[in-house]
Amino acid sequence: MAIPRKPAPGWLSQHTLPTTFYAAVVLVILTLTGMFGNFAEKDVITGRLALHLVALVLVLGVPAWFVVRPLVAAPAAQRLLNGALCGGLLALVLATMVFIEASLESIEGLVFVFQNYRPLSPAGLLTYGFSGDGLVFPGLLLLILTGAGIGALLALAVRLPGAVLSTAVISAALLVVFGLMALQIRAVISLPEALVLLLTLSGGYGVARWLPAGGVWRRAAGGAAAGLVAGGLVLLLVNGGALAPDGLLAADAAVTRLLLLPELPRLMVLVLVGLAGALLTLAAPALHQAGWLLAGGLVAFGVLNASGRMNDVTALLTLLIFAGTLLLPRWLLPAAAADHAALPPAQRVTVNRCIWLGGLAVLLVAPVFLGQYITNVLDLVMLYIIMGIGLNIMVGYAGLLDLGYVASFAIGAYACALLTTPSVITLGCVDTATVAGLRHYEMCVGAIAGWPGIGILTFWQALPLAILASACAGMLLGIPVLRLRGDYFAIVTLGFGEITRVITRASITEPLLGSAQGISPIPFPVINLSAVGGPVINLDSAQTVYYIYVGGVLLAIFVLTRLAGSRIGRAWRAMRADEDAAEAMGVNLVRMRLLAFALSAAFAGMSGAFFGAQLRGIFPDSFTILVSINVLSLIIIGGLGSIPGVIVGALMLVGLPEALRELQDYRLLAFGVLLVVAMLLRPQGLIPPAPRQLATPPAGGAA
Amino acid sequence: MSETMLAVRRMTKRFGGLMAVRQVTLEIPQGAIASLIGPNGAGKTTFFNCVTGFYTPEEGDILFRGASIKGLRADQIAWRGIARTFQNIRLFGEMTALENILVGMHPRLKGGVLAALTGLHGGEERRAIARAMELLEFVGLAGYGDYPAVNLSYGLQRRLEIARALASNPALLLLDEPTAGMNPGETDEMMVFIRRLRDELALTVFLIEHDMKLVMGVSDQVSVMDYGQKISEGTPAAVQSDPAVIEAYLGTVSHTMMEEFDETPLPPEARG
Ligand SMILES: Nc1ncnc2c1ncn2[C@@H]1O[C@H](COP(=O)(O)OP(=O)(O)O)[C@@H](O)[C@H]1O
Ligand SMILES: [Mg+2]
Repeated sequence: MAIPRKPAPGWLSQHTLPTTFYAAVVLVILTLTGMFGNFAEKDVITGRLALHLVALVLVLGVPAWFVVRPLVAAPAAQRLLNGALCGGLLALVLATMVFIEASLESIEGLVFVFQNYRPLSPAGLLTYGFSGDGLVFPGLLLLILTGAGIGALLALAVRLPGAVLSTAVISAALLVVFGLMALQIRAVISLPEALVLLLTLSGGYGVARWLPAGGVWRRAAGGAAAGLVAGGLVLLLVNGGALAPDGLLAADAAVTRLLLLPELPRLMVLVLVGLAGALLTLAAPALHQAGWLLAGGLVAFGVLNASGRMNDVTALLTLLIFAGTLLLPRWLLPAAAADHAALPPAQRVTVNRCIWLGGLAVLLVAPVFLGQYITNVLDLVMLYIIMGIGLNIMVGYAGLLDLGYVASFAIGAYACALLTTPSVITLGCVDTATVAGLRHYEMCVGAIAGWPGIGILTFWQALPLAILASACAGMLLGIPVLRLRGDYFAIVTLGFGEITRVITRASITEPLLGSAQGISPIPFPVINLSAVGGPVINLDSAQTVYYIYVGGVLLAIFVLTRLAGSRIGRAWRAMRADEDAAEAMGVNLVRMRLLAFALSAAFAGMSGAFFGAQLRGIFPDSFTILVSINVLSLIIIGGLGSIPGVIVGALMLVGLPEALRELQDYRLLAFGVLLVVAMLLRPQGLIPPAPRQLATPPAGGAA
Repeated sequence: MSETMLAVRRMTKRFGGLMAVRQVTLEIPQGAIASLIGPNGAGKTTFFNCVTGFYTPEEGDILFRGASIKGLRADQIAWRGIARTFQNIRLFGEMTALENILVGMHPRLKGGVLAALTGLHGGEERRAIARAMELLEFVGLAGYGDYPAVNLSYGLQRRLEIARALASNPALLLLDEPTAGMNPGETDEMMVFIRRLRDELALTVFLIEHDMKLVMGVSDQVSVMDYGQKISEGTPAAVQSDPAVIEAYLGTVSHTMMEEFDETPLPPEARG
């Protein structure tokens, strides 16, 4: 029998109180772990906005958004009431906690239990600076009003057009990221350079867009001409002394790279940028947006560089730049999309190729601009992109939930390290006179100075062997679990991951694998072109290893796209959808599974080899289950089976947390929240794979 | 008729204590349309599952074009030329209609990993897509090629499943209740369609069916199962008047079904 319940009043949405309750629980936990206190030390906008206020807005705003969002069709009064109620109640909870903290005689007890707790009331962190006598009134009252206000604002905002909302949210998020990373990204580009690039790009775009009856070639010529003109102007300016300390283009010498190039290369860069602008007028919608966002990002980097830190003006400019580069291209978009659709297929292929080549060029020069720190982050992102693509073969294609992917990663890393580093194996192969009297470290020291060390093999020789080793190991591991399904399969693979780690730190394997000390130092890869009269290039920094990763990512993307559209890829996807039906269609499940095991392990092995060579050392603790979970989460968040999904997922789940080291311990928390929210809003992932259109001939053809 | 397409000899399949198929012997000549009927739970689907390699029968033998296929895996049997559909539709939902058919062609295509990476299978792939388009048209799904299979209506999904089975160019096609869930109009279309399968594609068709009108209308040969045993076999007319069959149906099925069974007019060729 149903218990008779008092119906909620008509104006109260059924979501409001439950959502508020859950959010309040999270809020209490976050507060007790000292989030606000810790974040207060981190400025987003110097002296104006600290991170704890951003956190406050998020903690109050996100739940309120989930409350008002389903009410989008409701009358304004109802939305306002529910939104304000949610925000207000949450703020009330927070205010109560601050009040209790203030009335405690000492917070030692609190700090004893919650070790990260930082006091909130003395400095008036959440109360607009009011403390002591003013804490409750007006301080806490203001806090509660702020909560209600945020809720009410969102209740009004929910009716705004989607484009405006997403622009506001994305710009604000980018501003916060820029603010937190101000010190690292200040050195990306100088403002004059960024402006020169933006003007050249817009010039190329404008000329091509408004050229009367411009076909592809005319547009390209127009864009190149715009680039030439820009190059000429810059030449005039530079010759006229604009680069002098008080000149028009004078800028931070440490970051001025483009303007200080020799004349011809500088001109070529600008012509290419003009050309890129012209091609943007024909680009597919997503690329069109991305191109402008990239340009906007450069200018924002420039502004940050010019002001040195994120102050009020910089923040405002950054916000405007991002809002502009998100909104303005929308206005240009219809024409570009129409032109793109009207292109004859052959030309469209050409244009797409040019744009991808341009993107590749940007990717290749990026580390020069981005500096050590960010390049390091990008390296890590690419490491995970390679692994994500590999794991996608298993999970997104073959439908095998592999929780022990780290095993293959570790096997690749150890195989490569063993083959390139002095060890039990390699010493057996080196004549004893060479190593007599040397200790392990000293044998490698040579490598550090640019000498490939005393391994049996160089990195390049060891790499294919490492890939092969982990592919074979992946297949061997696959054999016992071939007949397992679903949950059982997942659990057994989970075990494999742990077993691998345990083996690497076991004392039995110590002579070979080094136990907890791991293997180090591992020689860095060297590209030795001296045989053909070229240079010897040491890939010993984040910026140089970057190129290995780019190669790996391109290879992985190539392999997966080729396989996905082939008989093999279809068989995998059929297997994932319905094993029995796939078998009835003649798909050999065992063979296809082993193939998936081998290929996905090969990619993990490749990443492992790169990883060891970049870090110059590997340790069992680098190969925990967290790696498996990270890779799995990023492919799920991105959208199983989708390559753009892997890229976006890796940027979000690996890149952002790595870049936002400021958030320290809250990274994992933010990570979890992000996962939950993303899965609630987009259960298919951010960019699910689109159905393959094989039956319809490409649009724009002879229709 | 000529060659025997499928010959099952004294086949038995047990599930624990339950004998789902008991000592069944059955032959289907090449080019025939044969039906398997019987009350629910009689063991018909289990029979199909044994023939297609999903189960291995404990006793007996299964000969396909004279060679034993007993003990082979389902995919090996598919390679040899037996294709099937399922009682409850089992399409690859997220994949498009066209891709479903391309998966059906799996045994007839060669491209492996190397071919995929080097692009050497381009010609084969184009021909496969062209053939898949033909099949879509043949089953009346022209224009639906790029729809994910889940988005198709029930009737279209049934046809797509048949097209997928046809894609491997089978010699023998097994259809498990192809008209389940269809209305009378769609059932009539299916009857015509099954004849076309034999006449235009020269297939041997073996179907499980509950709709007596269809069974009596298309079959050259009808076999009846009850409690795992074959209790009758022959032309539709002979089976319809077999007392053992009437007994089995009276014992288990409602009277309305029996009436339908009685009133179904026999097609001329079945009478003669
Ligand atoms: N995998 C199985 N395990 C155990 N019993 C099964 C299995 N498949 C079918 N059966 C049993 O075998 C009998 C025949 O089933 P089935 O072949 O599906 O009948 P039909 O297709 O004629 O309706 C039923 O009693 C059913 O419960
Ligand atoms: Mg059945």
